[in-house]
Amino acid sequence: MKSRIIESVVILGILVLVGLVTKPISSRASVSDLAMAEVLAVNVSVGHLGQGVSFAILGGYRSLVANMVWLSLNSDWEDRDFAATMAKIRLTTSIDPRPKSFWLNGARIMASDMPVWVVGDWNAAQLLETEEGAAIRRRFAWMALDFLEEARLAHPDNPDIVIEQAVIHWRKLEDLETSAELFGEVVGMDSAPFFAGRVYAELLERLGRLEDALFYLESIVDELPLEDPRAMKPVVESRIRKLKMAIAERDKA
Amino acid sequence: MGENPKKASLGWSLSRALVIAGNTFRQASRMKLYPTMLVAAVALLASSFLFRDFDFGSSELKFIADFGFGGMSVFGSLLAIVLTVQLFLGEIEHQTAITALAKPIYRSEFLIGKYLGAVGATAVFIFALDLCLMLALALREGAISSEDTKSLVNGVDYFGVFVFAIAQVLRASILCALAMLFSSYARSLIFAISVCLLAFLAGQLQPIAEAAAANADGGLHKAVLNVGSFLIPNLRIFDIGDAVALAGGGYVDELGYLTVYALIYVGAFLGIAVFSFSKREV
Repeated sequence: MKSRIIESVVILGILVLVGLVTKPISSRASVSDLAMAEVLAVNVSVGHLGQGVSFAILGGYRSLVANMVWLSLNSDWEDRDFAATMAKIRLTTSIDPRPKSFWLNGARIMASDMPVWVVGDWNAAQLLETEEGAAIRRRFAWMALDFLEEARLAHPDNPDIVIEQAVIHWRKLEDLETSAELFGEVVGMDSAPFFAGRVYAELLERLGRLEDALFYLESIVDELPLEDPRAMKPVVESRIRKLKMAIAERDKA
Repeated sequence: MGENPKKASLGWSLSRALVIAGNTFRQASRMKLYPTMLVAAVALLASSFLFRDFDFGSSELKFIADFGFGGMSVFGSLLAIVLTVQLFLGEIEHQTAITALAKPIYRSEFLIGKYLGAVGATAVFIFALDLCLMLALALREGAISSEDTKSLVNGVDYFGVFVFAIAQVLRASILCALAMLFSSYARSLIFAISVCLLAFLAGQLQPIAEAAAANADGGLHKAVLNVGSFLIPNLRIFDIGDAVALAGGGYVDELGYLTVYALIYVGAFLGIAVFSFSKREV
């Protein structure tokens, strides 16, 4: 009996030792980036542990399961069922956090659709006109922003997620300052779309920071490819001219 | 039944282990489970063409690749466990192992031969699935590029798909060794398979335990979580499908690290299994 206990302890000791020796390999970021991102996302939303996490065993089949859950979410969305829609958005992203469209569409449902479900289609204008409506709009906007914070753990350095956050701050919370800050973050990313730069300058202009907007546009205009219509180089050049005129007029006044 | 006295004059031989491995491989290929799982996995891969209309989150090629990767990792792992337990413990249970062990052969040769045979059979299964996946991807890639060149933003890296299959063989080799370890102690097939499946689940979820340990407040709780996370191999690191198949490049180093990781665990598990089996009454 005693020898069995000693044998078991020695075997456990060997396994722990092997775990320690192999730890540098298993924790290499390049090997398990995605797995770790999922773990981080799960840690943020501990309440969802046991839902999507257990689907990790499915490997590639997770995408099919996530798609099926998203498909069934559509009927809950049509029924305007808050609890089921929220639960399935969360479940989809915890089963398969890789597709960014689940995160973006989930956030849009929270920020744009759900407030209307509360007040009803006929009263949607109240979300903009009354204090109560604005409070509802803000509550769901923050819910979407929290959700997108989790998305950033699964998709670090993805400009689309940050743009979505910036747009919510702008359109739903009317917080141009934070929105401009986030667009400023986006334009610093390698894969930032061209339009993000123009929106960034527009927000700076609306905030009254004309010099900053001009400085930014002048810093990028030479690098914009004329042959790519998405870059809209002539538009940027025209904006630079308008900004210069606006600054001159302001200084004259 | 102890070691055969005739063995005292014999040295340990890899060739004898390989003969057993060859027999085990043939035995595995004759099992009904083997073609059944292969057909099921290929059928699921083929169904990705059917399910592609239900894909909302990713590109079509990635969706098909995910199906193939799922088949290789899930079916490959299940096959590795069930096949190894059946081929090793099944022989002991049905007492057919006695015939082999009565010959001048070491138990460790028998165990390692069985292990190599099971890994070989699982590897053939995984590479067959990989071939089917490559075919499916090539078919769809061809069709998509002829329909619309814009939608084919990232082409498939076929060498990456092959690298993924190698990673799955490495994962299966760990699971086969784990199955050998449990089988060397277990008395029944069902028990050994159940424990192996639980260990497989734990291995897949091991990063969660690691993250929980890192975030624990400290003290006994942290220590227990740490020991728990060290006891089980992290099988998630072999899920390199996203990194290798559609992103392309930079995976040869990763494969090297995964190989070292697998070899360390296989060595440890087989070492313990040999120790346990050498003392077991057959």
